[in-house]
Amino acid sequence: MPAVALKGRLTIVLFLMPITLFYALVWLYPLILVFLQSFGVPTLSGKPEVEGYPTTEFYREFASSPRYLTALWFSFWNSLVAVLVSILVGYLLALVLFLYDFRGKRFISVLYKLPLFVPYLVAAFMWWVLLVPKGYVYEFLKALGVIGQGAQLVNDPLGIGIIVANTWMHIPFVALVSLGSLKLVDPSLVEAARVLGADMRRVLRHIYIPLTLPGILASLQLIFLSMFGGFSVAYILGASFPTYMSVTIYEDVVQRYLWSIGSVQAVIYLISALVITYTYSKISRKGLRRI
Amino acid sequence: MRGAPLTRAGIAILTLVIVVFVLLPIFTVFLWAFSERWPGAKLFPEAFGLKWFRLLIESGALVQPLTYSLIIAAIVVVASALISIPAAYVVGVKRFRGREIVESLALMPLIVPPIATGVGILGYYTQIGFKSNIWAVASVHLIGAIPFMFRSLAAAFESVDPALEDAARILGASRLRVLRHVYLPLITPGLLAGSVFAFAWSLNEFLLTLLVGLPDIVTLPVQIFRYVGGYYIQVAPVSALSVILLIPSIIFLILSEKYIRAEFVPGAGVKG
Repeated sequence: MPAVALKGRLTIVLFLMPITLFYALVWLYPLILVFLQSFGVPTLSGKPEVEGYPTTEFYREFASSPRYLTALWFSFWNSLVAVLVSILVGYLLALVLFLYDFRGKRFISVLYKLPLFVPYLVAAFMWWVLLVPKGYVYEFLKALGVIGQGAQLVNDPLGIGIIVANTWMHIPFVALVSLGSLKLVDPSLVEAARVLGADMRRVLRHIYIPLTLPGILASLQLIFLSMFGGFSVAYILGASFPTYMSVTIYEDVVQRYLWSIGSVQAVIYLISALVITYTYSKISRKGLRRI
Repeated sequence: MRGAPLTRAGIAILTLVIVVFVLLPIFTVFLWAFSERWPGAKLFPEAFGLKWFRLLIESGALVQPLTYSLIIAAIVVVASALISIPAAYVVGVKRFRGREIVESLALMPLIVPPIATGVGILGYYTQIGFKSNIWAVASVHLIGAIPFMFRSLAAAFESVDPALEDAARILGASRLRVLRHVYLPLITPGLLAGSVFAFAWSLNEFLLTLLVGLPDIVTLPVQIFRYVGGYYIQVAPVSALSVILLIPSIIFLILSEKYIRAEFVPGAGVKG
C-alpha cells in the first residue's frame, strides 16, 4: 500500500527532524562559515581581512609556513605514539584481568576505570604537578638516573607530558574494549588447544590475540581522534613550539583575531581527522580479513 | 587461573604499577588541595586543612561556577533527551533505507576536532549576539552530549519487543501514546545511562564553554583554566577545584559500574 508507505516515510523524516535541525544549525552551519572564511570571505571576522576575496592566499600562507605544517605533523605523530602505548598497556592489562585470579582483582577491575571520567583539563593539570621539577615523578626518575639534570618532562619539545597524560586517560578505555572482546572468544577453542598440549603462550599467540586484536583496533579509532583533536592536554602540557594544531588555532583566533588563517587550519585539521578515520578503518578492516 | 610462581610475581608487580599509575595523580592533587603548609623541600605537607577551599569560597571562585555548571548540565540532560528520543525511536525500531547513514552521521561530531567547530561557533555566536549566557553554553554542550544520549536510547529502543507497539496500535493507541506508555517505561535504563553521560559531558566540557561563555559564564573547568592557562600555575587552589570536579567523576564511576552496560562507556572521554 503506497499510501501507508508514504505516511511511514513522512513519520521517519518528522522524527529525525529535531536532531537534524539542531546539528544543521549549531554544528554544520558554523563549519560552513569556517570553510568560507578560510578563503577570506568575512563570514566570521565581520570585516574583510583581505582585499579581493575569495582567495587562496591563506592556504598558500599555511603551506609555506613551518609553524602550521610542524603543528599538524606534531599533532599526528605525538598522538600516534600515545595511541600505541595505550593499546599496548591497555591490552596487557585486559589480558591479566581476564586470564588470572589474584587477591584484590575486584578492586583493581573497578579502579582502573577511574580515569575514564576525569576531565581532560584536570588530568592534564594533575600530570603537570607530577612531571614538573620537584614533582613526585620527576624527582623519582631523577633519583633513578633515568633523566638527567635540567631535563624537561612538561612543556618540552617532544611532548612527553602530553603522551603521558593522554596515555593515562585512554588505557582504561582500551582495557575495557579488550576485556569485552576477550570474553567473546569461544572457550571450547582454548579447551581444544589445551587438550592438544598447547601451553599458555601458544594459546595467547594463536587464539586470543588473533581473534581479538583486529576488532579491538577497529573500535579504538575514536581514541586516536580524541587525542589528535584534543586541546586542553596539549595546551597545558605542551611546549609553545612545536605544539598541537588545536593550540595554534586557539592562539591565532582567540588571542590574535586572525580568523582566516585560523579557519584554514581548522579546515585542514578537520580533513586530516577524516583522512585518519578513513585510513584507520581501512587498515583495521584489512587486518580483520587476513585472519 | 593462578599460574607459576614466576608469573604470579610478575602479575603482582604489574598490578602494583597499575595501581600507582592510576592513583598517583589523584593522590597528589588531594595532597595539594588539603595542604595547609607545604615548604618546597618537604616530601609531604606539614599541616593539613581546608585553607584552599575557604579561599576559593571567599574569592567567589567556587560557588558561582559550581552553580552554573550544575544548571547547565541539567539543561543539557533534558534537552539532549528531548532531541534524541524521536530519532532514537525511529533508528532503534524502524527499518528504513539510510538507517546506517543516520547512525554513522551521529558519530561525526566526535570525529571533527572541537576547536574546528569552535572557531565557527565563536564567530557565528559573536555576530548574532548569542554569547555569554547559559543557553549559548548549553547549546554547545549538546553537540557532544547528544551522540551519547542518542546511542544509549537507540540501543534501548532496539531491545524493546516490536509486538508490544503493534498490540497497542491495534487497540487504538496513537503514536504518542505508544511512545509514552509502552516505550518510555521500557527505555528508562537507556535514558538513565544517556543522562549520566550527558551530565558528565556537560560538567567536563571546557573548550567550547571557554569560547562562548566568557566573560559572564564561568563553569568549573573554565575556572580551572583561568588558574592554569597563564605562565604561573597556582597549584594549591587549582588542586582544590580539581578535587571538586573529581568527586562527580568518582560518583559516575560507581554509577556506571552498578547500572550501566559497559558498551555505553567507550568514548566517554572524548572532550576537548
